Amino acid sequence: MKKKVLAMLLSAAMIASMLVGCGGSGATQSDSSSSDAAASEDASGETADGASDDAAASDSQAANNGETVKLTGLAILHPLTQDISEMEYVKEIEAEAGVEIEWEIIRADWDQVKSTRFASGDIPDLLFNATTNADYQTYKGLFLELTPYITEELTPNIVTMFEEEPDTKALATTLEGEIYAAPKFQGKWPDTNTVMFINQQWLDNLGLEMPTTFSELKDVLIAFKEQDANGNGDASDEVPLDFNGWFGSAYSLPGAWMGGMGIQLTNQARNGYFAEGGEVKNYAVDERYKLFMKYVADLYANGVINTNAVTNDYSMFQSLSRGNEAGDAMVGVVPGWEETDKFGPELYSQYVALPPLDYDIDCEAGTYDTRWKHDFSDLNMSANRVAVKADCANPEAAMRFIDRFYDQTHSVEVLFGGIADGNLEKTGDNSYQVLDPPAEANTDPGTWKWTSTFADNGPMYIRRASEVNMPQDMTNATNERKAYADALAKATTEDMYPDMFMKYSSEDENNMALLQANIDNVINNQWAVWMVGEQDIDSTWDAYVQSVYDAGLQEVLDIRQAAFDTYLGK
Amino acid sequence: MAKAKKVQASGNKSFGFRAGKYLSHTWQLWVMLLPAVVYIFIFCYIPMYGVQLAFREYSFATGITGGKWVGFKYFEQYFTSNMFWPTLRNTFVLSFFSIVVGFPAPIILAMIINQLRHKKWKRVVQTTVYIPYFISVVVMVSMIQVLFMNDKGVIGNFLKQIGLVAQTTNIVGSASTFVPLYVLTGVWQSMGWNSIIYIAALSSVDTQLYDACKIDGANRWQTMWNIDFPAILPTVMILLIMNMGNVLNVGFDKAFLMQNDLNRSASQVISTYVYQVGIKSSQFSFGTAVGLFNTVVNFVFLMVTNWISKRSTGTGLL
Amino acid sequence: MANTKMKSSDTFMKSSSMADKIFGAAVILLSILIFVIIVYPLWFVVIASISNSNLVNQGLVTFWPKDIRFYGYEQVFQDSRIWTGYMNTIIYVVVGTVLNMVVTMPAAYALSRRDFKQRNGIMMYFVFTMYFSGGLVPLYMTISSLHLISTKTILIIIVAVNTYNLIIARTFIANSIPEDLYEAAVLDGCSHFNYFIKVVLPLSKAVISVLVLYYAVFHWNDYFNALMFNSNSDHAPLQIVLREILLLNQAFSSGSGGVQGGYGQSSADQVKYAIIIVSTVPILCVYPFIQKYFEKGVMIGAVKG
Repeated sequence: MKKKVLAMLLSAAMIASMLVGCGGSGATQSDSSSSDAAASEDASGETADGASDDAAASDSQAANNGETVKLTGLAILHPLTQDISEMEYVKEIEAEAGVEIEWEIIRADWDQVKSTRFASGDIPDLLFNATTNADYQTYKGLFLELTPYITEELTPNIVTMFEEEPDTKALATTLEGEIYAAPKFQGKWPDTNTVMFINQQWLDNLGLEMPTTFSELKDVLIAFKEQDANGNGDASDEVPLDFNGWFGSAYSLPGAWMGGMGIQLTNQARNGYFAEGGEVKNYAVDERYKLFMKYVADLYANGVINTNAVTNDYSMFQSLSRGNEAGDAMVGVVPGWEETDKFGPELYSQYVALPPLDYDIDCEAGTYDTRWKHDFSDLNMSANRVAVKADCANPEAAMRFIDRFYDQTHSVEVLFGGIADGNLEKTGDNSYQVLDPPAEANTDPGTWKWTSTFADNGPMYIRRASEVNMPQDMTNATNERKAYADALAKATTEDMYPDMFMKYSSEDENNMALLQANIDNVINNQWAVWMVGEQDIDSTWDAYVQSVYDAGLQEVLDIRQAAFDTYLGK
Repeated sequence: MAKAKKVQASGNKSFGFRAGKYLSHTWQLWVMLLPAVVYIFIFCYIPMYGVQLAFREYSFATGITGGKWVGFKYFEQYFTSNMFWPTLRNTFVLSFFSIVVGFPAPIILAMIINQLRHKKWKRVVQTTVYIPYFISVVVMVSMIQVLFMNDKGVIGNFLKQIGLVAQTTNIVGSASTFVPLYVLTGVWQSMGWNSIIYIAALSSVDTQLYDACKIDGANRWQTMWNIDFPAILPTVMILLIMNMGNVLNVGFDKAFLMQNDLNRSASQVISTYVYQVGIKSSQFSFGTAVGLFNTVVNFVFLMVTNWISKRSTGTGLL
Repeated sequence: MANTKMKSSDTFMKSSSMADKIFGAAVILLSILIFVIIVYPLWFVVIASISNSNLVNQGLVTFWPKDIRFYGYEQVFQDSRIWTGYMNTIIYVVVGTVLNMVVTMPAAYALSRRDFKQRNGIMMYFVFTMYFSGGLVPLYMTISSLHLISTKTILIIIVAVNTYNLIIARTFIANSIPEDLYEAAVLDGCSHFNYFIKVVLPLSKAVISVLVLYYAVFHWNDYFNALMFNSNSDHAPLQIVLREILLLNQAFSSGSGGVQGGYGQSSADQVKYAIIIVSTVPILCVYPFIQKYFEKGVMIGAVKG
């Protein structure tokens, strides 16, 4: 009996303690989290208010005493890139700025981790390549507003960049006129991301001329298909035309050829937006896109387009261009970045750039003013290279450190690798030679920069005046693009739509995210269905256009038009 | 405290009326439960306050619990979106077929393995079938793309040759083949792994029952049906209930990676849609709201199946 | 005993009907069919891990490897992090699984007792968390407030009990252990602890092996929790290391805007397949040891012994 009573008491006590434990710790939890949030808010408020005083104080302190300031930093690096602590030139930068950084390197899946880390406030002082525009609004109060710190004394290089390349300042500034992260300007990259390659050897084998119009291209592709263009005895293994992706892809067909119908695309034209005479439009609902789709569907029906093009991933897309087991070229016409990258060391010499084509189906060639996709700002500028945590203990030291990356020489080092690291040589006051990788590194120049340094992901300002003798792949890339120079020169401010410079309120931004997801669901599916002939274009076009507008296109166009007008200074 | 009294009362009752039949130390059961209960409390119940994000605007400065209360705004945003019905339908279709095909498959496999008389062959089959489970989704999808691609995909060509698939079909790029491809590759991957639990359950069947059956002159089919199947039925029912409670949880990774512009009309499921919306701006609240909607639907399915199962077989989760 | 058993199965063999023969043949044929369906893609993983990736991507590698090279395995094994990854993972698997079993089995037993009045309420308490969760951010904050972020401890205890496994164990105990054993224990005046340790555990070898397998494989494959709650590379488990090696080589095949060198492109995708093999083989080695507990008669033997 005693035992039973004891048992009952124990179980009662246990339940009771559980209930108490539940309520108790639940309350502490929410208390602590709200007080944490309050604390960090206070802290950030303080830093912003007392910024100038602190700035002066610690700045002089560090400069006078030569004291090293310890900071923490996080960098999202390309998976190939070595640890920052191995980069000699970064150590120089740290020394010059009088700081010492404890690095946390992330190479994989930052997107998944990011929102959790940001929302819980668990971030280091400096964030390299870790933020996007939306973050500054979503996590308002987490990041430092940099405007008070961008001064002639503290950040001379960034100030110079903003003066010499005003686009970079526009890029970094939010709608409210605030700056949360430093942008980059790398200046030496070409005007377009896309080269349409054609196999010159196949043309020669079959005695064909270089096509200049849409209808000539069709004839060439059919000849590639029907005859043994690669001369290996098998007339059926040629893939006349290949591509990867559609809207917003650098290697898509509309990216290359919508220009043939007078549509000026800019910066990959993500989601199909472009400008014409100052008006923002979407080519996915343009009558000319209907013509274009009919042309593409006709090509597909003639069997000249890779039947796996829609479903292949990037790696399969690349593999096909590398030829088969016997080293025969498999692909006739395909878009790419650069020939040796695209076709590999054995086949690249067979390919040349196919100049822009004029549209001439049921009309005269020249009816439309032929254009080519213009990607200069996308390839040379980007925002959000480095951000600073709002409650960073020493923002001046952080800013001094960041600014050193924008130094004339350091900027070139950020992109190609350090002088002390053996990647770069300074050949004159303002001229540089990018070195070839040593034999034992067993790599090529294009890959080497990604293993050695931040490369394109880093903060930098490469002056237009700087002479940089670039590696072979970049020289090729520049030469191949000469075929497009005339078409690219036609682009005017009113026709270019670099949407990276457009600013939106957070409400508009959220609204557009939802609407665009709905629009994408219609347009991303329909083109493929049309191309492979599952649906007839003429009979479904009107309903398609209607459904795109139903998904909210007009609202998005209005928001974008307002932002574009502001950008143009209207 | 009210609860404690109730425990006391019911304790009294069992001690009073059924003393001889049960072990009396209920507190020992509580002790055995304690670690699990505490763990679940800390890692599941304490963070539960995050649910309110579905009804609030997220703001970093005020934290999860301090954002502006917006009620059902984010639910409405989803319900009124033109993608609500398509994503809901696609998700249901994928789940429905995954359960219809994928649920019986491991049971049948376990039965077959259990019936194999050749010891070595049995071991070989048993150890092979569960390996696919270890293939990551990324590699799985790459394999699907290569093995089913037009013209050169080995398995795709084989299926076309034996007439299971029309010659002109693009298996990886068509809305009509997406569901079977998704479901059957899923079955391939998980069938063996899921059969383990049934094989284990079958191993606990009393062998005397078989002997009794043989004496009665039953053939192997009858033995399987009358002895083996009832033995694993409780496990089957429990797993079915839990599967039904996952009806809206179509894994994001595989659907996302298998998605392309040709099959989008069938492959856009709730999770891929939320990703598409959320990626552009950290839409915490929208994601949480859709997640909560998912959960509620799942929970309803779980409860209904549980109720039906309890009524018909006497086995249930609760 | 053994004798009579032999005899009965002998007579059975002789009298086996036509139906049984057809049944036996059908079972064998079906098992062969399933085996082939399962094995071919596995074989494909093996050959793809040593063939020229360009040819694999073009669908030219079908039954035998082509243009054999071992770049994928070299890449994986030349990375020194892989051994730390293996070590860490083994610690997480062993310690984590022991913890899982210690927490899960007693709880499963308690919940299997039909005379335990509160069991439905407690069950609800567990099942509820399978569906409703507060999301990652509050979980991160909770772990952070326990000072467990980036510790080995969190990777061990993050899933101390899995409700799904708990339910499986509960179902097994409730349905497979004869109730008369319990009644006998009651008469002996046995406590729950004693009954659990002396009767339930020995009779649950099959389900214990299943749960050990489930939990161990969960720890072995766990990538997400390590990604979210650990940023210390010294504590990174195998899956994180493999993921980084994979991405490192994907870089070759996903256009970083520069020359990629022919060799890189033609071998990079090998890594993808090699990683599957590297991470799966250890589990394959362990499986037979667990599998033997699924063999028939273990349970009955235990009862009689």
